[in-house]
Amino acid sequence: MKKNFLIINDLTKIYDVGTSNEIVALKNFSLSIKKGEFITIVGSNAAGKTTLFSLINGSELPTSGSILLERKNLLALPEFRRAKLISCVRQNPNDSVITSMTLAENLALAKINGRNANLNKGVKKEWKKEFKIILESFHLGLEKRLDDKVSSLSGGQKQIIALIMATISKPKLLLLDEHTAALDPNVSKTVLRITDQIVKAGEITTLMITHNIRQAIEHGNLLILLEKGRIGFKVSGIKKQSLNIIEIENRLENRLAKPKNY
Amino acid sequence: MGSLFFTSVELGLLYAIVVLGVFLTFRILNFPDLTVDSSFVLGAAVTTILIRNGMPGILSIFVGFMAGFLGGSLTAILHTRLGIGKILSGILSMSILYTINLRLMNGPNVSLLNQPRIIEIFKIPTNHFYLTLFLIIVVLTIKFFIDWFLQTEFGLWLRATGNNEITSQSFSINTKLTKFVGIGISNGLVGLAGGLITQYQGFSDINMGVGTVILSLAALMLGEALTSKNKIPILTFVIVVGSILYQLIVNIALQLGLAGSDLKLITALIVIISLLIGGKNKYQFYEKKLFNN
Amino acid sequence: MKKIITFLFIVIASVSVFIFITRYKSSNNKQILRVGISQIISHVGIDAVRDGIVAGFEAKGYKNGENILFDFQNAQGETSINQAIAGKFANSNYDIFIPIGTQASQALVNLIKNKPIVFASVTDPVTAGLVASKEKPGGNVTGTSDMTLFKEQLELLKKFQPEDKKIGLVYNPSESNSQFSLQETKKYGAELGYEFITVPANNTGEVMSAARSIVNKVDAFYILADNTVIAGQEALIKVALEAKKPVIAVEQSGVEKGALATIGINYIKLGERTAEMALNVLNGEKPGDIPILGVKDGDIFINSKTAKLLDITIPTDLLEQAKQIYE
Repeated sequence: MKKNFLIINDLTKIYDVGTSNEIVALKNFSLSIKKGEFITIVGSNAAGKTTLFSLINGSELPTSGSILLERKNLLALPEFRRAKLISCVRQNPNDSVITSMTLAENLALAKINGRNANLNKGVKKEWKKEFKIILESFHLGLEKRLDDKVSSLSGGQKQIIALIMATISKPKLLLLDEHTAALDPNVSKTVLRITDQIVKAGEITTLMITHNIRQAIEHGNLLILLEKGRIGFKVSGIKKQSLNIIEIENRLENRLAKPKNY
Repeated sequence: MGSLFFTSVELGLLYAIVVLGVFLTFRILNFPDLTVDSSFVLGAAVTTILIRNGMPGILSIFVGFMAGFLGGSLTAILHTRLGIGKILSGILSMSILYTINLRLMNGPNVSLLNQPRIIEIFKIPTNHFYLTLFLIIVVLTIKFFIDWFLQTEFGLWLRATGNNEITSQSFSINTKLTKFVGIGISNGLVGLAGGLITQYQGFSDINMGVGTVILSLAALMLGEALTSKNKIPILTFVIVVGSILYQLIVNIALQLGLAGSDLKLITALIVIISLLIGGKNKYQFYEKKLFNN
Repeated sequence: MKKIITFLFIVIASVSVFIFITRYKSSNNKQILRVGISQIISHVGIDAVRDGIVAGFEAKGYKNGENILFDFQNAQGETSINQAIAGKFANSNYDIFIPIGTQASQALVNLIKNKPIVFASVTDPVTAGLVASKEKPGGNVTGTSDMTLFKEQLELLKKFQPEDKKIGLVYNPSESNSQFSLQETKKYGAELGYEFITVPANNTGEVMSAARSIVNKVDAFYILADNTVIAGQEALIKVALEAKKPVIAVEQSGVEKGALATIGINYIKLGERTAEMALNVLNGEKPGDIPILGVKDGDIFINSKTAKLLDITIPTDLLEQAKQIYE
């Protein structure tokens, strides 16, 4: 399959151009992704990971460069139109769900995503059946809590609901922004297992940012290391599975110690 | 003596309509809307003028609602289109509407005493039964409308907007529209109540809206303190009860010889006691605080 | 569950107290006169009327607590409390009601049809819907009215500067109250031989420029009973004084701010006269037959500093009668 599902070309983002505060967050970043790939992205704090995501989902515009999704210019679409095509799950479980509403209501909102809301009942009977089936497939008992308010769920459970919400309407692209960083290690494992399950079932092209190198190695089929706004290296396949965690951590730390230079 | 009880119930039901409106903005939309004091008068003013020009009193229900809705729209536009903060938008709207009200009424006071009003049909003060029944029907209709509306797709949009605007936008919810409709309907209900109350009391006065927000919040909190459940149909019911209770308490205080000046203190006490008895884990505000730690 | 029980308990307890109190009150001594007095808000003028009512009853031998019981109610500016007070009065066994001001009166008249109401200090009782006409009110309602003392105030100017002919009037065309003031002023002024030059001001900020535009064409200014002009009166007075033209104010605060003089309604006297009327009703007169009493008792206020600035000698009789002289 050709790598032309998502083509990011020469993407550059510079803050405060021309001033003494100028920061180059992303520099000539290029990446071609084929449909269905699951890419993990690691990097130290100022590497440009979050900037990359905000440029893709539209909360910011690049200084230069282009992004083509299925050969269409993504940058021409404003943020709320991109929301139909691109779903995000963020780090804070409370930012991905509507805490005052029930599970079923949240999932219904996700199903309505992309079209205008009408005056029919929000949580329809057929939808509720569908939600039940989806939740049952995770074997976590969540299907029994469809009528509970999301605020009563744990962080991990909220993120799982967020994952379902993000994928229920089959988005073109799924962005996971350190979505397990705020969770306990055991819970993270579960959430990642479910992530894999959902992504595989829907064949959803996924980009996942994580600080956890092991996660980045164990999940996905391509690992990218970002350093100072550029791609440090890319690894896929067997090479990826056999990557040494310590090596990568060192590389990240070393880069931190060295001064900035372009 | 029994009539005094009825007066409280009638006023309680009339103001329950306002409280239901305030519930929509303050609780569901998380928008502290201060337009209320003026949209109340707007509904009253428009109703008064039309009645004096021959409109049958019952139509004030629609006319008052429309007038209030327009008042709320002004606030919504100031906030969503001009980016003015929530509270400031309400205050600005309230001031603009004050001037409009004065112009509409052509002065600070308009009498309805010798005009045919819907209230006459019910022959108060001697016979309260039919009027109370009528008001119960109106209030319940409004309550069921709100219950239904908040369960529709658009209602879900509205509730999501109030809980977390940014998350809502990531689900392509048109938050400008939800706020416009929500604040509009809320003030529509307030205007509707204004139109009914002006017929009940026999006149419109430019200052008749003063204190309405505070009164509504007190009644709202009193009602919420009665239940720990968070389901909307239950909440809309208890706040109606809260409004009636509030008026009962006010009337009792008056009967006991307390002066009008003490009643403001009583309102504050009601709010405090309600917050204490009501318990903390109910409101989104508290939820956010607990779960964001 | 516990909360519901607590609340129900509070409600039942309150309702019981409520019932007990009302029973207790109604079984009282029938000999004593009961009077309900209500006002929309506290305010110097209104409170003075209330004091005058009490004084008026006292002058005829009725002392609060002995042979008469007053129930004073104040709505603190809130409509719902105003309505609740009206409800309380309507359901009471009081003998007569004396509401002060328009809103308090309207709320009572709306509910009480079979007991007498004698209102105090309502500027325009016919437009307010309280009575059919000033001469023959018609129902169970009558009272006193506090119309501005246009004639008396204009006459005052004549006492100071009899040669003045042209008077400047600033007014807000969108205030209906001021339309009325304008008409009355012109009517009485014509009788006294005055000519008026009028200029509109749409808001308080425009009062100064409006005054300036006619200050050289007039001999004096008169401040209308118009809220906009009164709010901007300081500016008007300044313009007039700079051109050495006297200003007759419409109430006390204007003289305090530099106007030459005015006659203001004495609200205590108004209260007393209302009490007299109420007693007449209690003694058998029908309210519907008693014409509305426009109270004209006024107090004279003079600003002697202004008089000095304008080179005007204050006539001695005015000096003696004056209630207050500002310096």
